[in-house]
Amino acid sequence: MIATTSHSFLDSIKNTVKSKSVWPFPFMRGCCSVEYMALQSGKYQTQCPLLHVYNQSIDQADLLIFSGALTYKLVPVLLQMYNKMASPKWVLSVGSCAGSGGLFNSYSVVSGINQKIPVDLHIPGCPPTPLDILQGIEALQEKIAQGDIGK
Amino acid sequence: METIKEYSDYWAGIFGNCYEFAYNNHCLQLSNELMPVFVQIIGSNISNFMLLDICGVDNLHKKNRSDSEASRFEKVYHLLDLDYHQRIRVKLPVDENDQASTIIDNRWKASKWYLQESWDLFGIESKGVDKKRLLTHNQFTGHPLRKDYELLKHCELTEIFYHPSEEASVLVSKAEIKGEKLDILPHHQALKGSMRLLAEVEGELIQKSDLEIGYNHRGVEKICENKSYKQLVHIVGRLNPQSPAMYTTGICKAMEDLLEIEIPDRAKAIRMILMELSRVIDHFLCIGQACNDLTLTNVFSLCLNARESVLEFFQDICGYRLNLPLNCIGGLAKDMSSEQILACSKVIQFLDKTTKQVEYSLTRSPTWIKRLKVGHIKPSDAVSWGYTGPCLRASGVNYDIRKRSPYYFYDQVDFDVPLGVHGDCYDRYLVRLEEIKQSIKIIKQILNYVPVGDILNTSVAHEAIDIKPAEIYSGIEVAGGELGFYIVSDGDDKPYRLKIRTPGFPILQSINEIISGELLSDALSIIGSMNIIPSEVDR
Repeated sequence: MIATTSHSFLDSIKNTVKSKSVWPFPFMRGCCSVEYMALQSGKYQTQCPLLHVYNQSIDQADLLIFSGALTYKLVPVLLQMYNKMASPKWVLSVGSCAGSGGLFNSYSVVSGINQKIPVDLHIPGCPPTPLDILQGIEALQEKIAQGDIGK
Repeated sequence: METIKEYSDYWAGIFGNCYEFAYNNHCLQLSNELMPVFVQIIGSNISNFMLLDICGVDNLHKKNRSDSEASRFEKVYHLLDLDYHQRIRVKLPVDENDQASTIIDNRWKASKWYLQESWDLFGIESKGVDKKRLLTHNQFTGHPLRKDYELLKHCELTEIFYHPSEEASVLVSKAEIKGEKLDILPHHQALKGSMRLLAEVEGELIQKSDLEIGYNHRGVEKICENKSYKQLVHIVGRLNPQSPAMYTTGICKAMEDLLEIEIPDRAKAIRMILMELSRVIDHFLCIGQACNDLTLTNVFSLCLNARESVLEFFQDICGYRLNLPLNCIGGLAKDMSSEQILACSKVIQFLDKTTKQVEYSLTRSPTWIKRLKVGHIKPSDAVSWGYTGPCLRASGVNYDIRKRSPYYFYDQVDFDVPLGVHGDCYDRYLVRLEEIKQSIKIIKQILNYVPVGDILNTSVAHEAIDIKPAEIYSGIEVAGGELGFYIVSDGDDKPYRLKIRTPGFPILQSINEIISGELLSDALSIIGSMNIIPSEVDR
C-alpha cells in the first residue's frame, strides 16, 4: 500500500531497511543453543541471511537473542549486556526456559527474562525447532518493518 | 579377587557389619573411628582408587532413620577401584563443623570442587576448603539443598563480583605475577554462555586462571526431590542437549535397578541404538565446535549435517528432535516400526560417509595438528582429577563401563575401546573419531538382530511406583564419560535425595590447572577438546 503523505512513506522505507539490517547477538544456552546451531547446517543455511552475520561484540549488536534459564547469578551479566547495546535495540527470547522458567521452577531461576529486561518477541517450545526460531526472527523483522522503534 | 563375591568378602572381612552389598553396590557405613582404617587401606594404593563423587545428604526429614543416621548430615564418597572395576560407596556421618573427614579429603585433586559444592549446597564445612560459593551466587544466604530450605526462596544478585583465586598457579609463584587481569564474561562463544574465565595474562600467556561456574545452575536436584519418580525422567533428560536419550536412559536404568525389574529385550536393543546414535552426534558436535572455534567452519557444517540426519530420524520416531520422550521406567513408551529400522540403516550409511569426510579433512591437516598438540594430561593426573570417558582414554587409561561392567547387550556386541598415547587435544580428537566408528559398528550389529516382543514391562508402567527405603548408585557410559545417579529413597513416592554425577564437572575443574602456562589461543583448543556441556555441569 502506498502511503498518503511523504513523511510516512519515507518512514516505511526506513523501517523496511532497518528490519533487513538487524545485527543479532546470540546469547544461547541450554537445549535451544543446539537448535540455534543447527541453523548453520546445510539444510537451513540459505533460509535466513540474518544468521550469516557473525557478530562477536555486544556493543555493535541491536538484537539480543536469549535462550536458556535465566538464573539469578546471570542477572547482572544480562543487565550489563543489555545496557551496553546501542539504541534502538530489540530482544528475542527463545524457548520456555527464557520465557517463563519452564520446567525449572526453583530457588535459582528467574521466571521469565521479561521480569528483568523488556522482551519484544517470545518463541515458545522446549526446545523450539530451527524452523520455529527462523519463523520467530522473521516475525520480529516484520514487526520492525511495521514501525516498531525498539527501546 | 576375581569375582564380586570375593571382593565383597574382602571388605566384609575387614569391616564386618559396617559393610553391605546391595543392588550391586558395595557400601561402607563408617564411623569416625573406622575412617582411619579405611584410609590406611586405600592410602597404600591411592592411585588405584578414583574419586567419582562426594555428595552430602541431609537427614533432617528422613523417615525411619537408623542409628547410623542419627547425625544431621552424611557425607557420601563414591570411589572406583580401578584394579577390580568395582564401585565403593563410603558413608560418613558428619555435623556442620565436623572435621573427621579431613584425613580422606584432599587426597585427590578432584575433591576441591566437590567439597566446595557440599559447603555451598549443604553447609558442610571441610578443613582446607575456602567457603566460596560455587554454584549459587555471592549474595546467596542459606544452603539450598538442606531440607528446611524452601524450594522457591530466592536471593537477588545486584552486581558482578570479581573474585580471583587466592592460590598461585603451579607454574608461576605468587610474587612473580605482574600481568594484566582478564575477565571474560559468559557471553563469549567458547565459554558456551555459562562460564566466566578470570585470568591473569602477560601478553598472550595465561599465568593463572580461575573459572567461575554456576551461571546455569537451576537446582535440578532440589526440583527432583519435589517430583515423583516418573516425572523426574523428563527433567533429568533436559540436562544434556547434545546427546538426547542418554540421560533419560541413565535415570531409567537406575530406577529399574532399584526396583529390581528386568526390561524386555527389544527395549534394551532400541535403547542401545538410541544411545549409540546420541554418542555419535555428541562427538560430532564436539569436533564441530572445536573446528568452529578454530575457524574451520566447513568441517563444522559437515558435522552439523551429520547431526541433522540423526535428529530427523529421532523426529520420525517420536516427534521430538531433542529431549526424546521415549524412555520411561520399565522400557520404552513407543516402538520402532520395521520401516524406521530400515531408515536407521540409511542414517548409518550417511554417518559413515561423513566420518570419512571429517577424517579426510582433519586428521592429516597440518593446521589442525599444530593447533591441537597442546594440553598434555598424564594418566596419573587424569585418574586423580576423576576423568572418565574419552578424556580419560585419550590419556591411555583403558576404562570403559560398556566393557568393564556391561549392561544391556554390550557384552554380546563386538567393539573396541580406542586409547590415546600422549593425552593431548589431538589424541582426544582421534579417540572421539574412533569412538564414532565403533558406535556405528555397534549399531550395525544391533540392527541385524533387533529382538521382537514387548517394549514395556507392564508391572510398573501403569501403576504408582512403590519403592522401599533403599539407596543405589548406578552409572552408565555417556558420551562425556561416566554418568551416575545416586538415589536415596525413604519409601515415599519422591526421591529423598538425587545426586547426579556428571562427567563434565571434574573435567571442567581441571581446566584451571591445565591452561595456566598456555597461550590464550591454546586455551581455546583445550576447552574445545574437553566437550564441556555447561547445563550438565551446573545442574
